[in-house]
Amino acid sequence: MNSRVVVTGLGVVGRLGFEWQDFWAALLAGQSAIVPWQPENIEDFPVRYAAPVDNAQFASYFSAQLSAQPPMERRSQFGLMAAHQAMNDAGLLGKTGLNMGVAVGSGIPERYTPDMLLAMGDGGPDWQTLYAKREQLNPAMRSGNDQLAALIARAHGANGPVQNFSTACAGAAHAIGSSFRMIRNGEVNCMIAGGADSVLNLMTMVGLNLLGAPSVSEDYGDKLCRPFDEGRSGFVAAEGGAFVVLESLDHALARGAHIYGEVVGFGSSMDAYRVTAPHPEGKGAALSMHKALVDAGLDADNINYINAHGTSTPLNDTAETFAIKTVFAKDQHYQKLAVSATKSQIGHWIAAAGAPEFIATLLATQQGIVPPTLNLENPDPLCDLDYVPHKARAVTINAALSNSFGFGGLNTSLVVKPYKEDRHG
Amino acid sequence: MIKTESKKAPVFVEQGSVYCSAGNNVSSLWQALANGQQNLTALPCPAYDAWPWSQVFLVEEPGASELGVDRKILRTMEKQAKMALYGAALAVQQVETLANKSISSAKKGLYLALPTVDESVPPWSLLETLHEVSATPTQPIELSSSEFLQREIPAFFGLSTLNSNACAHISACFDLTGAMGAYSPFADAAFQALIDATGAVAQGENSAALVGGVSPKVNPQLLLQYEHWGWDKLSARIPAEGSSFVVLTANKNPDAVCVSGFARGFIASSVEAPEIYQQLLAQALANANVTAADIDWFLPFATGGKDIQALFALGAKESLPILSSESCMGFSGAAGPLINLNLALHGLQQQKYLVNTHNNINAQENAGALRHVALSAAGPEGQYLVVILSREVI
Repeated sequence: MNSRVVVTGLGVVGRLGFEWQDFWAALLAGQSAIVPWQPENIEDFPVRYAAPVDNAQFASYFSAQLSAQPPMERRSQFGLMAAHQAMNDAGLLGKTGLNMGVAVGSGIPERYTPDMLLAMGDGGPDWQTLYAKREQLNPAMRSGNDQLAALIARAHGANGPVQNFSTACAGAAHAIGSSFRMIRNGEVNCMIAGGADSVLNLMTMVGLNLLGAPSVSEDYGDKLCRPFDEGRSGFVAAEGGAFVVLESLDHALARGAHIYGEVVGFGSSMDAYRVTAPHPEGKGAALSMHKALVDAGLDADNINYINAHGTSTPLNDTAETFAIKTVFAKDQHYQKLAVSATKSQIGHWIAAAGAPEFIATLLATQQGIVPPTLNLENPDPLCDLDYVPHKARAVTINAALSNSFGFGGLNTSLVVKPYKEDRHG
Repeated sequence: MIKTESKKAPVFVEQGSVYCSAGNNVSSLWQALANGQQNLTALPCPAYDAWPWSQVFLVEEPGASELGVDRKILRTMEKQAKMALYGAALAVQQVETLANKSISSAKKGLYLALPTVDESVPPWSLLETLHEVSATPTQPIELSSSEFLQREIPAFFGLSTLNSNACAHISACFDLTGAMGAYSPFADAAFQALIDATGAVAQGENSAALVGGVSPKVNPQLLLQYEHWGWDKLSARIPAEGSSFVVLTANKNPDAVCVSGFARGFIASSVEAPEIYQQLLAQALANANVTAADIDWFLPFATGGKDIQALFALGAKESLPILSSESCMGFSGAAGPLINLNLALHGLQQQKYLVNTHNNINAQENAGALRHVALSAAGPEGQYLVVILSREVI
């Protein structure tokens, strides 16, 4: 027998706040996290805007928790604190014997340039010099990219599966989807799932910029992230961590947990198209949404809201629109959908993106209010859905989808519903 | 206690590919292990002279013709992505299921275990340029120049440092569009991939799935990481390169070996390790509806042999053959558990097994009735996973 899976804890750490309530209030108020940005010590970097976490505020807010931690990557700091917030919100901090696991979406390891400069000898760089100075290497950079998953597991006494997903921008959504499946199948009672990422370091941003992925436009200032708009020109990079606590319904009810909503479906797919571009008709994206609906046992017309991947890149937004119109073609249901792109407000959290967007989807479903797509001033004619422009809107939601599509055509979709005692009620 | 619900339908596993220093098929590897052939190579540059490992297990870097891709595509891939794609190509050639046109592309999945990307950051070429052009290469002002960085960093650096790009290449080459997952970075990731793939096939989400693992490229940064974990002090942790794949299917295959049980968990401290090894082994056995005494062969990977006693404590036969392949063929990270899985499938098919000898270089081959084989994999952070394979009685 399959267990029902509910969400009982939320944690978001990003530029819009360090508590999920602040994050959600900012989304509904139409606030943007995007600000002028340059990498440290550089003034002429082509990428001019990003959504960085404020270092001083972060350090101050979490000083008590961070001081007890070993050295770790920046993304791990965000993730560990977000997981802490989620466990606290779920009322599970300090609880033992939970039969709980951890699943994390992580991206490209952070690049600490001074580490490699240790290789510089009199005759040029050489490995022997680096080896001789290995004790000076940043220890945070020498562990694997499952560091965050293990840190969370240790911090919260998890003894169940500990997974680290590497599916690019779909990573955190994959982590949530896998966790949902493990609880539904009875493998564990409880999972801490989500992701954390920080690409706002010099080497990673140079690499992304050389691929033409982030926007280098200065035309729109802090309104640069404009999914589905004709003026969109690339994603706006951001950083942060977000986690949820998922539980079997029985486990949650037995301990009297507050329930935010229910996860009912997960789908994944691949484009099998190009490494650098999504399928232009969104075939993989459509398949991912379709699989999630099948997994949830829902017809397409049960969906009222989609939190789109909506990256503000020229290719994604038309492909995703095409995919939505394909999946929701029957009776032109796509015309009745509310679709919004949270990235217009928080930027692109890359491997972690699926987690804050899942939380936004869940809260929209619970509260019946959909966060907006900002900066949609001149919709692309090929993007002709209702993207909830500019302002949050009240919408009655029976079920909602959250999409996350990774670089190279790695796609995931999650389906959530408001929690009702009788699932079919 | 971790509990696992029985799977809904049997999931069969077919022998796929092995690409390692011993060759590019499982028979070659098996023979090399039985003969004690170790294809060790001196570390590839003199700069390694003082490093803890003088010899490692390397593979040739596959080229465009072996990979069946345009040469331009190679610029987007580091060696590990090439090893992954090559291993996938060998598996697709070996197993007809993935080429079966009656299964739609949307029902063919991909589950990969990937290391963290092995490229130097900044790229080594950039450091060399810094030495040539910079007045103070250890504190170079050029690293504050956007123009310098955009010029000196390779155009596809953002792709070649993204480990998941192996998924994109494999899915595109073999038209796999079904459900997928990619896990990283160590040996445990291989069985995370296998277990999730098994679930997806069991529940009908995929009809078939390609499951693979790939090692990191042997490079100085990797060796520094291995030293960080203390693996330079373990004789069985000689770095090795390679990849390995199997194919899962809902259709009964001629060998009729299924993934009959599994369990996975996390060991936060060495104090609790013995108890958790036992719990998870017991769970996997119960999941497979067998006892420890039913296990005919055990292949642990990256556990340091610490789970062997746990299996005996659960009642395994005293004569249980055990193969720790890493002591013979090196430590191939996320590829290792799937190499072991292919060895187990070969053994189940041929009704023979390999067992470590005292010298730990070669493995002794014996004939024996094999029905149930247990395999394990561990990650250095504390992940521990067990998989049970069972051969149907025909």
